[in-house]
Amino acid sequence: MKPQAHPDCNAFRVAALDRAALSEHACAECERWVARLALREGLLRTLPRMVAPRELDDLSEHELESEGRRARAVRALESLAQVEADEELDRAVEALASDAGPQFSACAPSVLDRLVAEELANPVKARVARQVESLARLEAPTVLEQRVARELAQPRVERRLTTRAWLSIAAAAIALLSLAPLAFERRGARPFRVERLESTRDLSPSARAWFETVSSGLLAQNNI
Amino acid sequence: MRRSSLFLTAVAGLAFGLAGCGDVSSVSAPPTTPPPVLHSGLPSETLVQRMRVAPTAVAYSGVRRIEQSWQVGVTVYSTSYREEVASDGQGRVALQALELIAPTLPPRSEELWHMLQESRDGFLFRYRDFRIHDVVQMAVNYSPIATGVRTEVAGRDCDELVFALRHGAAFTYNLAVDRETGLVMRCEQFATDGRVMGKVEFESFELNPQFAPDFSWDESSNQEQPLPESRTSRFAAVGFRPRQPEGDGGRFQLLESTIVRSPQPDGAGEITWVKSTLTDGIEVVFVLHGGSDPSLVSEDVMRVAPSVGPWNHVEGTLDGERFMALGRASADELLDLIASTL
Repeated sequence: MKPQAHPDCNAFRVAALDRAALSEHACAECERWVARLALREGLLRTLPRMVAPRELDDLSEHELESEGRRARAVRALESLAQVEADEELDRAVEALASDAGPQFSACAPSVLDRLVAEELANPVKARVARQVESLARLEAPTVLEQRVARELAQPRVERRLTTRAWLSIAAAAIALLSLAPLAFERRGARPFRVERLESTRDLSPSARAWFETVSSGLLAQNNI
Repeated sequence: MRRSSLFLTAVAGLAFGLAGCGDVSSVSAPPTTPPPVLHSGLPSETLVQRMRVAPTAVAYSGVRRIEQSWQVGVTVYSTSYREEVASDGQGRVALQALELIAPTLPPRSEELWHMLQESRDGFLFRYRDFRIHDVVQMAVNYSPIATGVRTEVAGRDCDELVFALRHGAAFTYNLAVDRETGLVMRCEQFATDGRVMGKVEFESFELNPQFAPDFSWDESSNQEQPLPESRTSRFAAVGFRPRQPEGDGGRFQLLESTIVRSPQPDGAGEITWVKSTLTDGIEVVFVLHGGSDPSLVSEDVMRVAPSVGPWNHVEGTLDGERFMALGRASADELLDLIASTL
């Protein structure tokens, strides 16, 4: 079991995760932690991005169609766990039934009707809601609590942008808008026409010679 | 970005890599919380520097198997052959094709293939195989990762490294690098879709062999001359104002500029070219600018050839002058380099 980290270490690591400016914090353990974090980030970036299989798209589409709703409802009901009533409840029901006499007929409470109706109407939503409710609630980091407390303690000052600030923002926006086309049209701005050859048979002699060299004669070997 | 700052970035990155490769478990820590042992990180700067010079600075000989699986249009063509490679560690190298494994050719065609391979050996040694041409550019453009896996290739103890471009789509290289010499003992090249495009692997290897006095070293048939520094001298040397790509801030940076001459297509005379060699640290591209010719079409047009495996080629006429760019980069990158010369 890991020992509890020092609050300063927690604050430092939260700031590192948030990409915030890192404070002075001479702790060798945290320095190693940040180094490992950067390494993991680098490694994760090298991982190939997985693509969902086509079958998953088809299944999702089928599930969302109206024809699939009945099947989903049945599956959802089948997946519900059966809850055994304890003996005390059984005895209470028997006592209630004997007191009420032969006219007594047990009926489900209205909340159960509502829950079943919700389950049938949108089983996925109901299942997600149950899963989310079962999740443990995370505590806010200490540094966040301290920051909120400081903010609340300060008197509220209504901030309004001055005319100079508005002018600065407008100038920056105009500059960005004027530069944007340059960035997007870099390729489109080539001052020449581009022709793309369809076949290696259309290659010029120099291009063919070049490809033969780099490919160890692949074009000639395959007569292409 | 200034080159000095690029160097600092690279040095910092490699220094970080050294830290990452270190034995983190040796750092003092409470006994109850052993820090996790990292099984990967950046390769050490020492190893990367050794890799850059190893192909010609190490004395060795061996037999390699080369496999290529290249797409042209919609068809994938496979080639496989064996070659003998040698270096005396003093700059002399030798490359000789031994056996064409696939495809199977008629005897006369295979004989011709052997002869042509002999004429291509210098280019293949310098540019076909994985090479670190510039450590700083490599560190700027690529994310080298030591996987932490040790492997053995042709009896050599190797580290497995992965080189992938930091930004944009390009090839990924999985390498087995000899820990002692820095030689790449096995190189697998992967396309952006994960398909294996090529593999070069030593099947046998000998370090510091005794070469016979009459050993046949390759003699460079390269007739290139360095491009003079001053504009006046340049014009005098080639007869036109050379245009060179501006690699500043881009993936590729200028490695060298030379003058080359090729025969005219009709055989009457020769064409003078200014050849700019650029690198992103690993891949190399060439941008060639030829002089003007009244017979050339007046329209500014560049023709893009179909890709042959990882290689691309564009050529055309701009302002009545010849331009050509070729290399293991996308056609769009080659066109951008041409556009930057104007």
